[in-house]
Amino acid sequence: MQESNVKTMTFATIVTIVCAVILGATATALKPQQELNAKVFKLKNIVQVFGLTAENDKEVEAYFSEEGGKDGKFVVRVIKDIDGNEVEMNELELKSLDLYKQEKAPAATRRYPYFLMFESAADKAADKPAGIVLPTQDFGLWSVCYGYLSLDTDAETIKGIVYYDQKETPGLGAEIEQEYWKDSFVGKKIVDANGALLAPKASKDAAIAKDSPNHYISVSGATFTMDGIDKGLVNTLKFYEKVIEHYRGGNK
Amino acid sequence: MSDTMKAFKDPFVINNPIAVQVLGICSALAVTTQIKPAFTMAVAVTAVMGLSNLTVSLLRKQIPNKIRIIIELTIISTLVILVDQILKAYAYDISRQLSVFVGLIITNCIVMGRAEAYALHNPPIPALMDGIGNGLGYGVILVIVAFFRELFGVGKLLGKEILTSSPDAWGYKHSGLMVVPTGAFVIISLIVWVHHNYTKKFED
Repeated sequence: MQESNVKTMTFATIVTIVCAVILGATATALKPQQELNAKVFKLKNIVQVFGLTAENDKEVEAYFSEEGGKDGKFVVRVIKDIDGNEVEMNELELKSLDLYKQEKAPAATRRYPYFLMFESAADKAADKPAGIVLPTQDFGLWSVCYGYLSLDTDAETIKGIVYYDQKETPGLGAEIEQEYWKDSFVGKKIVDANGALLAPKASKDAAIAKDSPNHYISVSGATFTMDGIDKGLVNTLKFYEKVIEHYRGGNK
Repeated sequence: MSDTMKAFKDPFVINNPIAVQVLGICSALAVTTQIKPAFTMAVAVTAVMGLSNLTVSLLRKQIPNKIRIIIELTIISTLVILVDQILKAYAYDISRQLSVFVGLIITNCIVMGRAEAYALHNPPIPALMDGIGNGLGYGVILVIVAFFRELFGVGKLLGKEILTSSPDAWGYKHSGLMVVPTGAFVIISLIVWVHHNYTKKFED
């Protein structure tokens, strides 16, 4: 039996509307929880890139609370220009902040957040951080790679790097999530031999990547991703130059 | 055996979607490096299959024949997106591990296949059981594969260390093969072999 077109159309329309309503309602209802998860996930990466551990979400959030977590406390600061002038920012504004967009934003609205890690209240009072976590992000091949770079007390030695959100090719660009790649940053310097700031660069030569203090391993076949990482790191050093200079040489 | 029980048990035990029909292999390779995500994937697929079969079966007399495939697809995608949203809200870490593979349940041929082959011609309750049976049949294999891959690949079970890799002390080393998808292929073929020997008596 051939059904009439009217019936077919009506049925299709009803099914579409019902499905759309169900999906819309669910998405709206679950959004607050999802956004909270995404935020905690970011914070967790900041904690981990600094080499600290957190068993669960509560411990992660504790690091950013007034009282601090088990090994210290992260304090977020925001500067509004590369001269290092600070500005207050609420959580909502911080959440929607994309570092890679700042260069093209009007000068008055530029914002650069960073995190200082204090091991004790006394250190905080004396402004002697145990290290700094700086955001670093730029376009890879398919997407923006969002990451954090953590610096040691001297604000020169890299403690770790993490890219917590990226959609690069698995097996190529996505290798930036692998331990061996992240480990190639550890202990490297963000200064050159003369002491001027210099962003680490990817090196295809394994020996250079291992021994040179200014290079990390380039993933072969992922040139675009590596270029993006390089560019992001250069920008990070440019944006936070004054902050890094302020804490350099082991202020502690 | 009643029809309902048969609908449930048949795909679960004898006509297993992975071991016999060799469907859903792609995700079986991708999400089985650890037990936890494999288990979550199994639950997600079972839920999607049960509900999609139930919905399609309830609508089977209304669905116009001309557009039945697209209607099935709409129902399945809606369910999959629901599962994806729920995972993002309540199991964020696992949903990140499963990444695109939750969304890809939509294209898992088991789901569509059962809706088209079974739910469209059978009453809701057997259809629901058929969906759950197929989902569990798929899930059981997933968890078995993940068990071996996690144990021999990284020496852990559910994240707890069981086997320590120390080539010097007692000569045991984690198998790199188990970490890559090839390892899943090997285990799945072994399962197919065992399963075939077991089910031989059901064949003529």
